[in-house]
Amino acid sequence: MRAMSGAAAIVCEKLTKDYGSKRALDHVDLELRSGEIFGYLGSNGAGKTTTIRCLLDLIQPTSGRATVLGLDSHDDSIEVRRRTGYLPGDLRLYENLTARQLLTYLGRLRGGVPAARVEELAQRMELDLGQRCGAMSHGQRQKVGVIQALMHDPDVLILDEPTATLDPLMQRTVHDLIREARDRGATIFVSSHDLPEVSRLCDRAGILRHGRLVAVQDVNELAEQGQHTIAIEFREPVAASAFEGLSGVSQVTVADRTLTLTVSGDLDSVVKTAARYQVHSLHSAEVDLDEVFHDYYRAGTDDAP
Amino acid sequence: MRLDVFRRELSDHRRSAIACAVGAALLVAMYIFFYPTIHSSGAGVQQLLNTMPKGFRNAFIGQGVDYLTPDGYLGTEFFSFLLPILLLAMGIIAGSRALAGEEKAGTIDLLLSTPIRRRRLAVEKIAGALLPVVLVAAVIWVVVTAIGPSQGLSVGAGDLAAALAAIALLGIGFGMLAFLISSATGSTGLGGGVAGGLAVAMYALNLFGSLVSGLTGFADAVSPFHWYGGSGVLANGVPTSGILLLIACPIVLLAISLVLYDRRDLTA
Repeated sequence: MRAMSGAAAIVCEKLTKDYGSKRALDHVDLELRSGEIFGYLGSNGAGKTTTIRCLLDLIQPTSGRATVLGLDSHDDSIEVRRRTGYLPGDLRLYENLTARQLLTYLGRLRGGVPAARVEELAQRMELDLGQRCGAMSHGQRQKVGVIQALMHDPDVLILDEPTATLDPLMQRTVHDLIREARDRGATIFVSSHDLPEVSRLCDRAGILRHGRLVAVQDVNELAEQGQHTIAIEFREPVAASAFEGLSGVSQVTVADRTLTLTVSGDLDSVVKTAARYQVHSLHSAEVDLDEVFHDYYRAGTDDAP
Repeated sequence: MRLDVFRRELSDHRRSAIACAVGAALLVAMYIFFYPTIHSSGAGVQQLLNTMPKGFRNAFIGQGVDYLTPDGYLGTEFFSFLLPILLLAMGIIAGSRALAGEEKAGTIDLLLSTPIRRRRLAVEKIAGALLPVVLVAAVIWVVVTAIGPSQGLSVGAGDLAAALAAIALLGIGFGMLAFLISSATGSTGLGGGVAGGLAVAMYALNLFGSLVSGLTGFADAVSPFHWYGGSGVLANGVPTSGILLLIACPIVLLAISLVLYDRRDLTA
């Protein structure tokens, strides 16, 4: 089954979805290699969830088609869903059921899932299966969602913003579980609006913007597109000129003793320069993904369709 | 995957179904215990009824039915309004929520990411949602059959079963209509509203049909409240054409629901 490593696990061919006059997906051509972790990057409303819901036959494309493991997403939907694990972006659970009841129910609909596997996942996710879903926090619900996606050891995992509501520690656990799934041969399709997450987790990534796939590339290349806005508060006066001209640095401003600048790529030179002064505090924020895309879009128009 | 969705749905309804059954049983018992009093003041009651316009009497008691007989009394008190409305309300509420409720709650993505066919999901859902209608009808049968004779209310067990089955089918039919509209649109309110509104309109049509002679033929043909036999159902039995229509409608509505639900884009 995994012998076809390297073959395409998910293929979208000119996948297009209109809602009335609004085009949510515009001729998306996409190919996921078997056994890779693929990041599907885009800001909210870019069409990530629309793509995913087409793959699972929850909605039907206006035109074009998609296949999962060589199976048509609509005609062979039952087989596709049997071999796929899915975590919805806007996950909702049955409030009146406990996590165990919910997972048993979904497991039975999948023809039975070993209880030991569920217990094992729950232990790793530090989730109390006896708790009622209605009484759970966002993070706990998300854990239930991750468990139900993984519990039947699917060949394909489709995860819509899997770690958006998880704390950093739990994010790492989920990333570990995703990598383990990949290591046993599964192909993983992860949507995210979080560039650093994608660069940590994924092998390749596609960037979706306004329903169009504007680029697909290795994450290492993509990471260089990452930008940080950094604010450093010093204990002594500092001149902007000390930071201007450092590689990748732009928009340097100094107000009082606080320096603000934007860096793309490595932070090394900025940190080393700052270290020459007495630093009181340092804040770093990821630049809004949309802005990165915008820059990327402008810079990489050759790649864009 | 042995009827898991059906059992889940049924289990979701167990509290409301038990409440409905207990409520209906108490109400029915109360009317049964009233019967000896009504019966003993028979002459006065009959006099009162005679002052009513004939059309009204036919509408509420049934054509050629004696109110003071067990058939007439139960038919008037239970089958003209009370029980049909109870079963109908149960059917409409459960039918409108069966699938559209999952969409409203946002759980449908999770449910349909499992390898279950939409048609099978729909059939198991609606079967589980509407079974309580039948169960409540059965409880009513048990109560009437068990305590009716002690109060002088003896009705044929088979006639009673047929009459209850007919109004259960009425509830199932309107429930199926609510299901069709809700599952085809994703809106519980739309299905419940349309089915409920139509039920009220059909009830009114049936009532006016028996009051206005020019309207009778049309109302009898169109209104499901006439199909099951109305308040005269115990005395006169369920009309054959009526029972056929009451069986055919839910089947046709279900078939349309399945076709429409199968092709729909589900709301996220």
